[in-house]
Amino acid sequence: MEQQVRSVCELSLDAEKPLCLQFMASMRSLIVNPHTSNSTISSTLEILIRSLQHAGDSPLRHHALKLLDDIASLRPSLSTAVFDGLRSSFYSSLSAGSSTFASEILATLASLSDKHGNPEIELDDRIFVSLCFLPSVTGRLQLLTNAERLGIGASVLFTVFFGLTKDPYPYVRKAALDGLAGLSRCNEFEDVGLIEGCFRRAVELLRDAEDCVRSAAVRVVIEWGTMLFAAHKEKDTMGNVVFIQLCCVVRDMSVEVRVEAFKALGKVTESMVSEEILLQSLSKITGALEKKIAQAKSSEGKKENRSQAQLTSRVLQMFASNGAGAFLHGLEDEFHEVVKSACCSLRKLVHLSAEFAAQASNLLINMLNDHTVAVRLEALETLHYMAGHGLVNVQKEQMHMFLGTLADKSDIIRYAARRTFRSVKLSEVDCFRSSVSSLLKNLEVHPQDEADTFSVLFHLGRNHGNFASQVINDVCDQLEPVFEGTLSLDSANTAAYLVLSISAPLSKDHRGKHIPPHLYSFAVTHIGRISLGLGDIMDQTTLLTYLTEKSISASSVAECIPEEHPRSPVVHDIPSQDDNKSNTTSWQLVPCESSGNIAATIVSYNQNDDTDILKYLNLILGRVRDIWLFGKSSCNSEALRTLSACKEEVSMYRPNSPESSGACAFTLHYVQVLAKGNVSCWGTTLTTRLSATISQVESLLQEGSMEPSSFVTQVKQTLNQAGILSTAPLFFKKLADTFSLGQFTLRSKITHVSAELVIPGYDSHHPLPFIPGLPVAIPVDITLHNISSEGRLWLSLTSDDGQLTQVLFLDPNLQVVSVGAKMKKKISMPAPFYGPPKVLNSARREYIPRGLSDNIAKLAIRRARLQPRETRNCPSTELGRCLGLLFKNWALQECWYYWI
Amino acid sequence: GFSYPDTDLDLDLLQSVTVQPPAPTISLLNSWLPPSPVMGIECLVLGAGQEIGKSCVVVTINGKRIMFDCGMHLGHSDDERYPDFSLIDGSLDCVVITHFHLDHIGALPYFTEVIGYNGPIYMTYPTKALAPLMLEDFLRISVGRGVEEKFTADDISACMKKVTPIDLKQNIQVGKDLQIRAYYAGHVLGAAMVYAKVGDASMVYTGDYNMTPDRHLGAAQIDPLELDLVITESTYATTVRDSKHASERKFLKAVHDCVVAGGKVLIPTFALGRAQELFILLEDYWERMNLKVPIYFSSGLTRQANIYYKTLMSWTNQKIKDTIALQNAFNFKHVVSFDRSQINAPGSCVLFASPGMLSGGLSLEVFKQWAPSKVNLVMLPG
Repeated sequence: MEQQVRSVCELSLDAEKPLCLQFMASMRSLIVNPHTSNSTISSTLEILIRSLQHAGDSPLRHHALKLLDDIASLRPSLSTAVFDGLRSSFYSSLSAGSSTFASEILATLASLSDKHGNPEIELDDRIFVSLCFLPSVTGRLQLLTNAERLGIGASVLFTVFFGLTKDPYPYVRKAALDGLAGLSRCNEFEDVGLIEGCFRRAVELLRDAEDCVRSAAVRVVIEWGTMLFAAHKEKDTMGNVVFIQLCCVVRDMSVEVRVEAFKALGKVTESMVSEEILLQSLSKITGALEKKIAQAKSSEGKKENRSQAQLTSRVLQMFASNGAGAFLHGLEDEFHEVVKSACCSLRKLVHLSAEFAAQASNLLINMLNDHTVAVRLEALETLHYMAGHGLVNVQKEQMHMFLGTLADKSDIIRYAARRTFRSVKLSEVDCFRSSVSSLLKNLEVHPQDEADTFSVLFHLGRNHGNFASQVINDVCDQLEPVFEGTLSLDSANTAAYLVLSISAPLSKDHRGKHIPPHLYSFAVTHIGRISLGLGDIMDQTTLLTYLTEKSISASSVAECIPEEHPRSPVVHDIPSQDDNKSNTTSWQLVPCESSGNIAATIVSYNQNDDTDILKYLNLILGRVRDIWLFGKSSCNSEALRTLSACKEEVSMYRPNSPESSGACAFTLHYVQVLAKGNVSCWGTTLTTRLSATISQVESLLQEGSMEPSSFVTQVKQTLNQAGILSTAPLFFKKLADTFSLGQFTLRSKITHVSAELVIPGYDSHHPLPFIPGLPVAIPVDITLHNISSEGRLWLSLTSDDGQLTQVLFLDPNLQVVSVGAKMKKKISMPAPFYGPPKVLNSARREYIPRGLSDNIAKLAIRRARLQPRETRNCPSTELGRCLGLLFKNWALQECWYYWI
Repeated sequence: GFSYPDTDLDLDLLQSVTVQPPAPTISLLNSWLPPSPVMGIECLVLGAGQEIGKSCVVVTINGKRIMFDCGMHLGHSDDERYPDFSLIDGSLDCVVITHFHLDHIGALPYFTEVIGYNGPIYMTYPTKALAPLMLEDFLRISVGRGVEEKFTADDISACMKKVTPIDLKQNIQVGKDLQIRAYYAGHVLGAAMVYAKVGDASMVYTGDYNMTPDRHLGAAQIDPLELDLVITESTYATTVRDSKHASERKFLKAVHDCVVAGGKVLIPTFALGRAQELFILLEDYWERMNLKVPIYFSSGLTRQANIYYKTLMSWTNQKIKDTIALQNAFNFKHVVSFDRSQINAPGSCVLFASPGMLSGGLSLEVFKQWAPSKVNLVMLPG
């Protein structure tokens, strides 16, 4: 086809024959086909240009123009050639008297100039003016639309545009007004009279019968009105006149005009409009305005400034009858496009006056009940903007509506409402309470909003630290985990309150520091869900660091303790946290299995770095240290509850690596011992236990070549004196008072060495049959954890009456039946036990090993003896530190299970 | 034709900012006004001149006589209840009714069936649909009170058969010279403002109209017109009303607080218009807030009206028209009909009961039962 068209083109060029429609269609196919050769396109271009010059008044010229435009668009390399060809065609059309078509060519040229950066057309002013005043309406319209791209001087353009604002055809009037609006940006007009004239013409056209003309007139009113305000000597009056003129258009019957009017009102600049006029645009009540009108009228009688007074009184009268409450009308408009425009405009004007902003926010809050989602959304967006600039102060009576948006059925509205709440300023604590309450209710109904709700609570708390402190102190009891197994830490409400509590200290008013520090520790258990909500504020590592610091902050602890319990001395410095180093930890929420299972809702920890695990456990240990202070300050019930919570937290933790497993086991045991030995046991006569513990500690210290601490020495002295003094309990009490639990910090790997003993099939109701004088084989299953093959192990069995104890040496290498991962070995063997007849005769011919009828595991642990040979070989400083710390805690009697 | 631009820039700014002189209006006095020699417009105010109720104005434009509205005065039970039609001198060319409220249409059956007017009657489609409901309900209440009205149910039926329904912005040619056109007035479903033109004289009779849209109706709309006379409703001309959003907020808060506290809310209201507006308001709020408290309406008339409202969507506001494809705003999910046996049923509820004036019927009965309890609430929407 390309060849065929090309040959026809050549033929046409030779014969100068006019093109037919069918042939032009073929040409278009070639033009739009990217594979058509450039030479063919060039030929096509040539014949099209020629056709423009020789086609007379043929309607095909429009098609030719379109094809040339296509060529310029699809083949940018040819755009210059198209441009030049069209320019020559333009002048030939002019000389041929075809002014309408010349205008059309000008429009195409202007379009090319815009699209391809071709040079300006630089049309002669005289030609432009003569074209504008020719009868063709289309031609005028095209000329006006493209006038600014034709290189015409601004003064000529102004004259033409201004004149054509009275064109009988509305679209020409509109184009002329648009031209005037465009000219306002060229900064070439300084003559006040000229500006005033243009402004007046636009004001006249605000009453045009056609919607499109009125819309364009609104644009001119604001643009030239602003210029008039800048140039006029009576600035104050002129600024108000412009504003009032626009206010009088906001009740136009056309939606388009109303939208445009509010857009224009948004362009009113500072100092252009007086505050009282601005405020009147929000209220239909014109009492104050009427007084002002009366004043202006009375001034009319005076000679000086008479015309000014007349102007003022008339403008104000017009405002009172047409423009008062303009924004109120806009916000109540039937069409959401208008409401949106009014809201956008308000956003820009609220900076002009604080009173205006306050009244505007009242109106906007009332709009939150609008039946259209788009309107509610726009109102919220505007309130959000205003709140961000501190311009929203919600009144108590408005809270109902404001809070209603938090429960809105629409996700978008709820989201927007929460966004607004983030930055809103509440004046009263009751408003704050109801806000928090509504957010929590919303959380119940829409659990999917949790992350965002937490974020809002955080912002809300940070913005109102004192209110947050009050709320948290009121609900503090509800946040405590219930001791007897039922924990409420996993509820969304609890987590939400915890978010609020951790946000308060970041408040500017610094009053949030009265948050009980253990709440920060509780918050750690929710770190996954909380950090999801606070993603826009801080990352998880930062949050964890923050919570760590707050929860172990001695000062915080001291502040929450009543005055009658003075702060106890802290023996050891709190080690600094090794934070912000590893970011490889990932947290994820685990679905809740049951409401009572705290573990289910707590984060599952993906251990990519043991440092994080230690950090986590150190937090728990830090909290335990804090609890000690609670215990000492007679807050035993609280201390027990918190200890229980800590125990739960650690026990639910599922470590993957042996190292973290050891650390967890240690922490769990540490907490269990504290909980069991409980600070409430002060004064109980524990001389025997203490003696045993001290001897164990001394043994360990000897192995580690470490010196006993002053407390150990003191305990030892007390024990010696206790035997001879009747007032021993008092001594112990005094001793206990001087003790302060140090912050235990896990710094490196801990290996948990342990053994479990099970007697399969054994039941305390069915004791093993035993024939006196014959040995009995007791089947035992032993599981060893982290015990090397070099270790030596004895199993000691004690008879039920305690008269007979037999010790059996176990060789882990010989009796191992399986070796699992993590240094876990299992041994199954029959343990021989022999009792002499004379001893057992008195035992009803039955023999039950002592303890088997009790807790088997406990017995097994107690009776398993590990030869601590390895420890002598590796007395590291860490071990020393560990034991040193443990030594101070007399409650930790079984610390020797752990090896570092 | 094309006019060359006015290049004279030395215009007086005051001209452009001067208040346009108000359109010529007349005082609506209950008497003949002197005929205007220039316009050829005469006005006979038979009702609603310096009073509320019984709207009825007869205007003669260039020899053509139109009656705008034919209402009754509910505050009177004597002859004052109806316009004094005997004052009309000569025949009417047509009657135009603006909306279905009784103070605008109540006397029409009497005028056509008793007085004997037999000329054309124009009203919009919704007005023609809803007016018989209002009239029949009014008749039923009157009979219940033992008041004898000047027309019967058959008169209503016969009267409505004579009505020609019109659409908005539809040019109606009455005879050779008179042209009338209806414009949207808001206020109630089907309310219209009427433009009338005879020769070179033209006028607008507004009837009741709203400039602020509400939950189910838009604001009044009219073309830019050059008029010789405007007869406008002016009952609230000097009243500055609270923002509708603020009123709604207060209303909803009061109702919400009451039902949350376990109370019952009685809203005495007329069955048409205000009831539907409040239904939509509460329905929307109930839906958004996920409230489950039942909302009742007591009148069978309301049920019937709701059916009409569902079918006359093009007369509602933009929002309802926009969402019609998704949901008909008059398909209420929470609003259900009420049975008298439920008056003392336990639990909170909202009840719309007629009549709105608490002058008798169910609204008064329920009022007596519920008002003594402090937890209950009576809302008078006006």
